Amino acid sequence: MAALAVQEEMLLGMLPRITMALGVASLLWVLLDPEKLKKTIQKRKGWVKIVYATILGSVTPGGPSSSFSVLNMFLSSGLGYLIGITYITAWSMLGVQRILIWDIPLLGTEQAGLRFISGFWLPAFAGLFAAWIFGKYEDEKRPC
Amino acid sequence: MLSPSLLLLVALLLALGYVAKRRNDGSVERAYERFKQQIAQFLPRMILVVIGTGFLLQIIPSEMISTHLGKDAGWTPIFYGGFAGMLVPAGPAVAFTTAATLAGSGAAPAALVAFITAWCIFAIHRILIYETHLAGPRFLMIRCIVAAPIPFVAGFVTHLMTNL
Repeated sequence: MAALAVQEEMLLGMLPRITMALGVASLLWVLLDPEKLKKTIQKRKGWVKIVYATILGSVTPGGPSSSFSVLNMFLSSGLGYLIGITYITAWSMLGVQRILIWDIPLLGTEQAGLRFISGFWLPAFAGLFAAWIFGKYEDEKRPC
Repeated sequence: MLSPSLLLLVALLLALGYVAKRRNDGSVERAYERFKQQIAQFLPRMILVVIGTGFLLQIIPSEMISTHLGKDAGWTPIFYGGFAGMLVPAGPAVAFTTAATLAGSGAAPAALVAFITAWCIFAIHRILIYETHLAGPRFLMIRCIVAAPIPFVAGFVTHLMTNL
């Protein structure tokens, strides 16, 4: 029973933060427009594009249906594996919504911070690898 | 009571709320509907996760965990964590209950980073149910190949940061 009392206290401590985090996620879900995201990325050049793909991936809230519809839009408008893989990897591993709602309340700010710092640069590398290995292969396959 | 992270969230909420309000197109109402849905879905799960973690911590052999997954076990916890994370066929409630239990039993931060990152990227149920038909098998294969080293690299970086 003592364990249960500790857990109750933990849950009550987490509640305000989780409520706020869900509020932020809901507003982002309404405000982020896939068409605008695409235009924002298309306007950028070079490595700035990759930085934008990482940031937009991590702030895209919601499950796979919303992020994959953005991804399909990126791919169909010719943004390629570099941006597509960077975006979807950032969404899956750096999703701010997941960090705010799950990582911080259950594992603590320090552990969540370690995960973010050790991984924030990795989606860009995944994108670069995908473009380097598979982008070349796709070009060769394309009929002239 | 008012921690910096809570203050930051309140500021973010107010800023985004202001932007939504200025749009004047019912964005605030839609966000509120979404919020109600999310909280109804999320709260019961969170309560179960916290209670479940509390019980698991009482019964789990923490000595075994700290020996094999603890800081003193070197690099190997990163591999255990990474591969275990890839195999968790469930949503965040199960993955984070496991992680919080491991953390409470003395698992190294690097093992937890590898575990959570691997689960985030490779959640098997998500891949099978959504990703194969949302983006096609070819894109999925490429994503899995290039992202495979990520949990381990993130784990190694965490190991270096926590052992400096």
